[in-house]
Amino acid sequence: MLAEFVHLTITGLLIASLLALGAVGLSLTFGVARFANVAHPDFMMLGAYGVFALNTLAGLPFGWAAVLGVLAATAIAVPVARLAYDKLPVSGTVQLLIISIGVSFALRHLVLFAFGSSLVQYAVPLQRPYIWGPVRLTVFQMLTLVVAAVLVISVHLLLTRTKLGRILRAMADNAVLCEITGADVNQARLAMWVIGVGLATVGGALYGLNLVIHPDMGWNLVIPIFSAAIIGGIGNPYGAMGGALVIGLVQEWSTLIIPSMYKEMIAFVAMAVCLMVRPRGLWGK
Amino acid sequence: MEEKVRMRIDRRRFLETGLTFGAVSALGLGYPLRAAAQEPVRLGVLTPLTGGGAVYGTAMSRAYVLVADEINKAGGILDRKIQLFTEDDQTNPDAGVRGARKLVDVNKVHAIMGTWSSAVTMAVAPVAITANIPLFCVSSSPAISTLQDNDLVYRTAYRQDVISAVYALAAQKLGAKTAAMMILNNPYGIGLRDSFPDRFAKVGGRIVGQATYNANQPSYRSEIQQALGSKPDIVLFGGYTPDGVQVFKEWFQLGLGGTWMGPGFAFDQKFIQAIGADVAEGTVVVEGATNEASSAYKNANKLYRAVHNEDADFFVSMAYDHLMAVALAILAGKGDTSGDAIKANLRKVTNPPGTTVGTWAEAEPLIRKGEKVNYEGASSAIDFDDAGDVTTNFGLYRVKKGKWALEQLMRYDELKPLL
Repeated sequence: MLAEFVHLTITGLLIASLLALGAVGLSLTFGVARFANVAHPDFMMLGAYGVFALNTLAGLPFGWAAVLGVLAATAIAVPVARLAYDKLPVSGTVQLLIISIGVSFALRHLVLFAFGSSLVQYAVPLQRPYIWGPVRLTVFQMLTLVVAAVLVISVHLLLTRTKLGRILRAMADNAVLCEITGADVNQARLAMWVIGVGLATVGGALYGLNLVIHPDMGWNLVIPIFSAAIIGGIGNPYGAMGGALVIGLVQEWSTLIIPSMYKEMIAFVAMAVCLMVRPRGLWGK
Repeated sequence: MEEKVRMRIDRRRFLETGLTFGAVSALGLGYPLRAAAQEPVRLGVLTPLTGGGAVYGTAMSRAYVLVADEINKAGGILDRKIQLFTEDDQTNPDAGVRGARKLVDVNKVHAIMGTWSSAVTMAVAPVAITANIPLFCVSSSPAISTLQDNDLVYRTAYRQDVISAVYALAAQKLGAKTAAMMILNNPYGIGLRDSFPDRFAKVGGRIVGQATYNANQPSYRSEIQQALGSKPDIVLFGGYTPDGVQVFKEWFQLGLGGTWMGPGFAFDQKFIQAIGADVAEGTVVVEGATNEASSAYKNANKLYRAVHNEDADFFVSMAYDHLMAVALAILAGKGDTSGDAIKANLRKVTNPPGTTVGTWAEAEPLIRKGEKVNYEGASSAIDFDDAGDVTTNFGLYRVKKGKWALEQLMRYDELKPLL
């Protein structure tokens, strides 16, 4: 029982770390830009395909491919987000939401067109795990946990300790007031996209390392990532980390008592309970 | 007024046609009459060239062409050439019905061959039944056996409901005493999960672990641990290729060991390519086995190899059998291509008694002499029962260096006690 619990906890942490990289960026962009970006998980997909293209197709060593692939995917996705969400003469939460659904479809079909619909993998051999009692982790899985933790902490430090972070938090509170005080709102918005998209593409690259890459992977992540962001209190990046942990762990722990095919439902029961107790999310204001 | 104009035109047409006919017969050409006598035998091929069944459907559609060419080179069926019309069913019932309608209404085919997905076969069957032409499929749903089909729907594949007995037999042959199940939560997976344990118990086996998972989960790690935690001798996989690749990747990374067993459509070439030959090594694949000893298989393999440089698999062999069965039935009916004639003669040429034949060259002279033949097919014995089904043998394959290698043959007789 204990061994099983430990195993499930590790699985939950692995899933949570991948979800967190998506959910933190999603929450950040929701807080600042004030709309739910459905295409956000597709930025993760772009990250995975960026690494795949450079590693498997172009034959770069994995380390270089990972860095350059993430940068390339971010360099593609940020202008797309700027153009679709910041430059179009529309405003309003619903309009931007619909545009983001369009962006999501467009990205997925571009990838389908470029790389086809088959499952793809990086050109790295699969690893056997290190085993310590009930703990089984490959080097890549440890890397995933570390990278996710480091990035999430970095975002925390950036938001709390830097001028940019202060501006972003101010924009989330009241964008007009923030602009009146003389902050460069436009530049801050660009920075927000770079951070949010960057986290997503790194998350996607790590996802591809542990799981399988296909054009629909982003779409399949929409619900878990949004749930994580909502549980944490959408608009609050720290909350998103906590939300990802709740989703990942509750889902896995639930399989101790109920059949695993219902675990996705349990995540939503957890979400409902959280929202009943704290309607603005666990860490919401 | 309009009436009159049309009548005049009709009369003029009539005269023209009559004169032409007269002139032609006067010249002694008699062309239209001879053409009617040599009208081709029109057969429809309706396989998936796109969608989930594309790999199988494409190979099958190539096989039909090869067999038709062979028969045509030998002079055709009573001097009538076989003409094939091919449509893509897209592994989609709607597209399948559109394709079938086109084959029936526009091409006026005498039979349709090749539907792969059970959903497509079920959708296309009414079109064939209404047109009173036979339909030959390779689908596996048990519902196809009980269709009110006026004896027009035939299948050369195995029925899905024998498959859990096949897995039990395979497990026994591998010496497995304990098994676990890793099952996709859909009707196919649940059907397997509910039927396998009883069959496995009949061979003295015991289920020691199981997990049911949903499609498109980000991770299957905890399910794999749940199913394999008790170290079973064999793990039955009840899913498809996409989830299979992810399950295998996470299973390998967990370092749990164990042997997987699953269907050919999940552990296919795409799967092996995606997961890597070394990870797939040793995986047990259960799939319909070709009838390798038959002259039909040897011929099908020779034809397919010569053009496509690959061995004829179970599906290519079934396509060979479809066309051979139809052609022999038409020959036995002295060239009658009506649905009634084909179905009346089909079992006469495919089922015992009679001289065993497997190729057009073997069968044609005997049938012309009026002798009874028993077509022994490339995929199975092709002895259609009352439901239009056949019984097939199965192969226990293992993935070796990225390819399936036949390890043991499982004859249908061995399965019977487990059904």
